[in-house]
Amino acid sequence: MKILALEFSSSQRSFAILDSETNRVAGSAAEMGGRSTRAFALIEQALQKANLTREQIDCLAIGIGPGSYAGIRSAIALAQGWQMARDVKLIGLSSVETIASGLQHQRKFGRTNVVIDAQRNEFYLATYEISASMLKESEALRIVSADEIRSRIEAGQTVVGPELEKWFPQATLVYPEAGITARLATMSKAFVSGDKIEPIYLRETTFVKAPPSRIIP
Amino acid sequence: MLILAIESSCDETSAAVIRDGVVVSNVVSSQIKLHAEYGGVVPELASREHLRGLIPVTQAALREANVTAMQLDALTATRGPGLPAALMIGLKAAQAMAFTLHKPFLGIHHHEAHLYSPWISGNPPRADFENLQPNVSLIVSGGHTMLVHVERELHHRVLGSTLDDAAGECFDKVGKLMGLPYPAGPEIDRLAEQGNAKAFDFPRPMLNDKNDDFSFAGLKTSVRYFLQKNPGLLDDSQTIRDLCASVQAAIVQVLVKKTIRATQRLGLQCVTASGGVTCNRSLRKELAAACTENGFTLRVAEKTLCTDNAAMIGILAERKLLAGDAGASLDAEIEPGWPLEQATSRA
Repeated sequence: MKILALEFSSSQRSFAILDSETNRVAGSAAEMGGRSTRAFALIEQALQKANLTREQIDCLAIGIGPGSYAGIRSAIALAQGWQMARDVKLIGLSSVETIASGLQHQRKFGRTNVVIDAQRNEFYLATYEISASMLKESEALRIVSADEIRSRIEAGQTVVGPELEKWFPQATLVYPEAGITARLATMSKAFVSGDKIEPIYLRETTFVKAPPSRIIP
Repeated sequence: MLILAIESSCDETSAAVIRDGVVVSNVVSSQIKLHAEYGGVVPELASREHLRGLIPVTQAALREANVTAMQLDALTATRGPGLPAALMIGLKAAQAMAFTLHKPFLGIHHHEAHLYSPWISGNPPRADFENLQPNVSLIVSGGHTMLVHVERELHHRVLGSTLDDAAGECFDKVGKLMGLPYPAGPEIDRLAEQGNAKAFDFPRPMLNDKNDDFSFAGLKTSVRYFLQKNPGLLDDSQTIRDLCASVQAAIVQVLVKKTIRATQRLGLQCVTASGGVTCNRSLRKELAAACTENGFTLRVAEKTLCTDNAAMIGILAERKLLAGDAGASLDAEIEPGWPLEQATSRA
């Protein structure tokens, strides 16, 4: 199976193509920046590196955050369009798990706090026990305060994640990488229709409801 | 030419299939009920709904048209203006379809599509550009109010637009002040039918200014102060009907008079109108009467094409492709604040 992975949940948007038979990333590309993306040019670049055509892609694996809603939705919408045009499989994968799995792939073992900016001075946090043979989520993904992250750093724990330097200079910069997303996809069979993929929403919505309206027959 | 169009600029997810100037299918999924609970469009909720609704709506449009994605000749989507996150979902999906199918893609200006929607009519709806005349086009919706001189096909010049609130926004905000359900425009239209439009004298902002701009924020504020001074008025349903009729009359008079005056000044014989507010029965009636009085031809978009829809996006995209537009880069981004002047070259 030829997998195209899109990981747009951070300011580094990455693209990777992996052949599940070899489990090797055959082509990849990445870009940094704000809202605008050269997604299709970079997908084409990755395809050329992999010596594949668009028609040969069997599956799209999407990083679904948590992270930048704009980036994640952009990747999901792209995948939805692809699925409507071609009969491809889709799978959504946690960007936090992608970061943890990437560390395991780089043999960076130990207890690790994966942190992603959740805006409003809050952070997504999941803690993993990482070894050569095991990747275990020991504390489930949740939203915590900056103080919680700070206390873990002060206690000497490892904190990693994208774009954390502004708040936690001691944290290690690690982006979720599409190549890892693609590898995770080979281990899952949770394929879904594109309309069932959505970003990981952890925060409760707090939109103000209108008062009851006046009904005049 | 077979085109799939997607529109997701605000709170409606729509997809349409156009074949050689004919609207073969036009599926619209409205989010109005979802947003009504909050008294207005919540952008975050709109984005979530677009993401959930895009595939079912697009597949329904393809199914209704009895075509497959592989048969398409081109893809198009609204590129702007609109809510950024909402626009992005339709645009990226359409671009991805174009990319995977190796077909051209065109990003369309929502208002430019409105300019030509009055020229789509019949059953099935068909583009009637052979009869297109130079005209003054009134685009009036919840997000925009503008007058545009359409000199010929794909050539237009903005004459004026609202300096603050759009007319539809004024309807909604005034309705909110009166405690009416969202969207208040249709409710005010309904209640005004049994109300006295002369019961209350609200201002007609910029009515006599020698330009083609509009302003409705002052009217809304005037209603707010009036209700604050007279709180008991809302206890009586007939008075509410009179208030609705009076506010509606003020908005409609400004829209109609300024449209007619611009048409006279430019020496044109044709007026068109489109956008959600043109569903308002009083506006349709008054605009028709004023056009008849002045000997102008009036073309108002059919009701299904007044509100946000992909059919008008697809029809305009087809005209542009036929006129030699090579299409946009697949990495063209959304344009949430895209000025209409920049959508097509001016004559």
